Amino acid sequence: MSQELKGNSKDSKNIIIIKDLVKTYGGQKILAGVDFKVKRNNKTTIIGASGCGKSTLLRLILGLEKFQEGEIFIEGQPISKLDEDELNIIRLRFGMVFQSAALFDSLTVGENVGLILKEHTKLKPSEIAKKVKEKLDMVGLADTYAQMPAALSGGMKKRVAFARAIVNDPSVLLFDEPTTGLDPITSTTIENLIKDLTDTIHATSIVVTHQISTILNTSEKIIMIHEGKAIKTEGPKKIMKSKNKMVYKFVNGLVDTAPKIV
Amino acid sequence: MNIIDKTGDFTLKIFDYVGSYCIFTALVIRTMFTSKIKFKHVLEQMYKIGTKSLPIVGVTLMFVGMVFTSQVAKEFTKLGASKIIGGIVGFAVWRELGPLFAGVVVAARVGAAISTEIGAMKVTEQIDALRSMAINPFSFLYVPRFIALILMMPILIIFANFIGFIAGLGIYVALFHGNPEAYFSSASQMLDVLDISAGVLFKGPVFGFIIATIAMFLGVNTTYGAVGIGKSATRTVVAILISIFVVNFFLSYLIF
Ligand SMILES: Nc1ncnc2c1ncn2[C@@H]1O[C@H](COP(=O)(O)OP(=O)(O)OP(=O)(O)O)[C@@H](O)[C@H]1O
Ligand SMILES: [Mg+2]
Repeated sequence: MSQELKGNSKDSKNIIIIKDLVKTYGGQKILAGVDFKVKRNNKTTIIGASGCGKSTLLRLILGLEKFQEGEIFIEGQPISKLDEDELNIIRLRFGMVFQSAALFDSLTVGENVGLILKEHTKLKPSEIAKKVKEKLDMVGLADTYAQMPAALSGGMKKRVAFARAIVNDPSVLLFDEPTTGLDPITSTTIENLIKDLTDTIHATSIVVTHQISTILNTSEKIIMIHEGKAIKTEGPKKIMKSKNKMVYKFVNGLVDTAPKIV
Repeated sequence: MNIIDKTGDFTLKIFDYVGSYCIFTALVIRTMFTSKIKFKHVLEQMYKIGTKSLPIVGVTLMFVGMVFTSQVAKEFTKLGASKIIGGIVGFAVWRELGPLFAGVVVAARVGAAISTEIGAMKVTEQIDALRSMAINPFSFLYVPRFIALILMMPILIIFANFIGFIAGLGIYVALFHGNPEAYFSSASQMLDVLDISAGVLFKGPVFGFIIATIAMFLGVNTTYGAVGIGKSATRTVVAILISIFVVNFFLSYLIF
């Protein structure tokens, strides 16, 4: 199947293509024709006001919800045409950090991180434990291995979710506010991890964030969702002086409030 | 909106709900036969659902057996029919009281727990997280609970019947100076194989089916955060209790 996936991709440069995507909730249009492409091995950041549909967009890319119009192509495959089994093949190559962390609260931290390996590989428990500890170490939480998620702080949960998302070395990373609520140092660690992962294992990342440092540090391309549409921006170097009024106001608004958050 | 519109709207909603419930249940059953189900997951649930319900089922049936027997014994002794008390208690416990009260207790304890657990997983995106890892919530979460309830309910009913009957004997002997031998012999004369087995073999799995599917369905359909979880749990218990009482009536009518 993965052979086929590669063979199918007419557009080998773009791993994800989103075309005229429309998503409504109870008659209300949240996404009203979103259009953009994600290049392979590229770091894309999505910004936008609270409630504009960023999390929804990530959920749609993973096929967790259905959309009403338009299409999402992953490796050239239109995902609205795929069934759950076919989607699962794609999902296994994606790692997702949910905005709420979404750790399984009946499992320990170690079991949370290792679950995907336990369910989808033939690795021995000791091999899984080794990989899990390695990833937990990357986010500075090696000693939480045996704890329950309920015992962790919000920021710690986020980092465990990060470790869980990358434990099977996925090739596409979808991160919903991975650095929100973290102190500046941990935040930088996570930002560097995102950069490292995309650089060393040639992953592709899509990061939703409100954090200006994450926007500037981890992106090559920045997209702003505004009134249901995707606005292309200038990129991290010039975005602070963006010619688009909405983008300019938004990112500079973030900087104005940044000291207060820290 | 006038009353006719409202009634129509409500009826449509009910149909919509019942329809979704049927689809959900069909998917659970299909998954049971088409996907690999980990035996370990079923065992875990059997322990959580079954073994841990034993104490409360036991206490409930002990008091039900005691109160029923004391009332029956009082009246029957007056009428000089104390010989058949064991048989009457046996009838009541095996046919109705054991299965029904076990069902009620499990509905309240396990039904609410499953609905809350699944509801919390839904609103905190844990079910989405499973799906994002290509793990099917049906084979991972729902089917193990479904199988465990269908298997454990009959066992809990056997236990309930036994406790209810023995508690009755205790009261009969302690308060009415009854003869234990007469209690047992009247029961063994009056009860046939169907009386003893129907509650376990028919009502058990059916109650297990009802509790599992309703609790999981209402859990998965939880919305609006923590408030929604509480609401789902309440709804679950009410829906299960009504279903069990109605279904129990028809089962008893058909079987006995
Ligand atoms: N299941 C749902 N049912 C109804 N409406 C929903 C649902 N999920 C999201 N919405 C609505 O869709 C809109 C977009 O939500 P989404 O979570 O995608 O926003 P967001 O951009 O991620 O916001 P934030 O920055 O606050 O996380 C919101 O107005 C929200 O109320
Ligand atoms: Mg969001």
